[in-house]
Amino acid sequence: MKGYHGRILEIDLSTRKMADLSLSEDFLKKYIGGATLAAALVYDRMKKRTDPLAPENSLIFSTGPFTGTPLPMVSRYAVGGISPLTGFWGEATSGGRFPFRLKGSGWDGVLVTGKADKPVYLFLREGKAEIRDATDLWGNDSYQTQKAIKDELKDESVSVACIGSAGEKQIKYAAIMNDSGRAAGRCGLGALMGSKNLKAVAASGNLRPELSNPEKVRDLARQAVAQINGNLVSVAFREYGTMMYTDMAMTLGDAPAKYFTKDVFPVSKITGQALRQAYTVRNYACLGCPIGCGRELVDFKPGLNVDGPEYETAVGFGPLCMNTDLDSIVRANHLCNRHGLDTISAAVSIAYAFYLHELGVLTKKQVGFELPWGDSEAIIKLVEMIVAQEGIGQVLSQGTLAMAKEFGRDADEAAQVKGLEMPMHDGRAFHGMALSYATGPRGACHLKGDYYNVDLGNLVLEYMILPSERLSSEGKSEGVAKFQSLKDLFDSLTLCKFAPLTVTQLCAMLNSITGWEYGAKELLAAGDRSINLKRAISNQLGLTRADDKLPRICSAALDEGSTAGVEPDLEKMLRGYYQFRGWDWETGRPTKAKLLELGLNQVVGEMYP
Amino acid sequence: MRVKAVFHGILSDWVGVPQAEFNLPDGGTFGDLLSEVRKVYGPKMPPQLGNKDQADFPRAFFAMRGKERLNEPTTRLQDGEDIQFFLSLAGG
Repeated sequence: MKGYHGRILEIDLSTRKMADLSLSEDFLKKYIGGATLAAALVYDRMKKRTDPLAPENSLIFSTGPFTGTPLPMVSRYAVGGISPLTGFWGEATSGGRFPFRLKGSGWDGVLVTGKADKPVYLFLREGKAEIRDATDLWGNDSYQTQKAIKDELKDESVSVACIGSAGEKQIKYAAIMNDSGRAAGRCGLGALMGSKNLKAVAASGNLRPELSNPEKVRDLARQAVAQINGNLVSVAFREYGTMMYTDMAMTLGDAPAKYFTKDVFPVSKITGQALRQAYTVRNYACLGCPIGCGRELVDFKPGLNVDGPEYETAVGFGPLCMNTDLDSIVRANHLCNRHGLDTISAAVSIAYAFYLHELGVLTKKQVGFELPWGDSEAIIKLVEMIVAQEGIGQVLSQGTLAMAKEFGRDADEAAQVKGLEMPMHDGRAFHGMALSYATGPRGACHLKGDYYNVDLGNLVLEYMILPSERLSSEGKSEGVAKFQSLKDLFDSLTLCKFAPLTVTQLCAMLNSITGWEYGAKELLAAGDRSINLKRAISNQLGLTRADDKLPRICSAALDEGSTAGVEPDLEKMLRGYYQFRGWDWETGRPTKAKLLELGLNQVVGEMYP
Repeated sequence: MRVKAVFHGILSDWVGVPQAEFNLPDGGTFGDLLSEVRKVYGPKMPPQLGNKDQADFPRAFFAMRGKERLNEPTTRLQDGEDIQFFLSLAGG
């Protein structure tokens, strides 16, 4: 087997038993790696209607065949499990150095079940694994934890993925943090980690699986680096990070403001340019990335360097809360990183609190202070209260769906899909995104696929995914489905979503690493398989077509801005999507024929007994 | 006729102005405007954008007239119109 170690480290924290789980080449060829591999392992082990935080549930850290190779933009890992926030399939990915170290430790990933009787962390180094005491680390923030583990192991090359206090307290949108402020943020998998008393996974080593054609891989890597450097994504993100899009997004109506009720807001103070002007900005690049879209703010406060916000966070704590104060956005981001909170879910929940306060539903007495829109100090205070589980912070820490229930509001007011809070690309500005959010494998996900990029002009010729009118719901279904499948694959391979590579290149890379013969058709089928497998997991957990929807707060036409008067026709797009996907309109499940076509025979047996 | 090009986001940073007016021949097209933008501002743009050849240059942009997206170089423009230019790239 080439490109893989062919084994996952399986650990039961209740019994402290560790064993290698062998992965066959046929299994890997089918599920490839990363989040899809995690889904396949979860599917095998899950029980229907389970409590996501029950000890028997699995939590998987996984790499892919691209991870650790000379290819650029491949230092990514995925975490998968049943989401404590949504109750359905949950996954999150992150970059940094940890993915290379995890693969370099000699396993393709780690599967954790059970619950330790006291806080522990895992240490993996070149084929050896240890469960170590983390009692003294419990209570440390994510930065302190990473440093303490490196100090304890006396190994600077160790990379650490850990939880902060949010994960320890099992806050439903707790993130897993690695390499300073990189976050596997979405779906609350940090809470799942906390429920197992697992404070961190530390990895070190340089064990690399053999490549099928190493010379070809190096050639492809050189070509890819040249191509990336010659691409717009490189110069734009290197110069200004993802915040380079903030002002364009607002002009296009893509950046939501005032809890999704406006798309007109002055954003000139919170752009990538503004960040560069206000602070000393250093680029952060994941291992092997020629771009470096991450921001590090040097001496943000005397002697304190912090990770800079990216687009999602800037808009979430900015326009969504009607806040123009860049400093407070940086502080809120830093607080979330320190304590391990998903900035998207945190920001959307806080914006909902402002909204409810304006309506008079959430009072000063309940909050402890007034919540006028744009009050930057209130935003910081609410993040602190969420982390501390103090007062109203406890309600906000459950996410918007639970907040709506708590305050007796219609669920259509909760800005989420399937319980996962909406990211900062408005489905009214790119109708393909409305469909993508409604059907995303983990709920409202802006990364699979990021259809706004298609309708801005970035086509995928191999699959005939072509730009179309962004404010129209016509002809979107097939393109969205294909693009979701393609972008889902990025998290299997694993590869950064910003990598401007063609499908033909991806196939050549995969084949030269593994010796397989994947063509464009087979690759898309693998993406389809992944989407359907994750769908099957969520179906088993109770998901139906009724869950494939957008809340009204995020779909009702606005009265000003570039999307004024326009509303996506979700049902129309959804019907086309279901037809293309081969999903049953009544049940919301993949049809038996589709599952068989994709080789998901085990799912057929359980879904259609 | 005179047509205004409005540069959004980092485009305005790169070209050094938020907007610029161009004289086009009567009946001028979107393609004519792109040629003018490329001639005047191409050298100020990063090589990944400004050095793109004539055929590729339009693909670097997402251009709009009101709510209408401009794709075709043959699209006729009218005197006094504002054309909005965005980079065809979004943050994550």
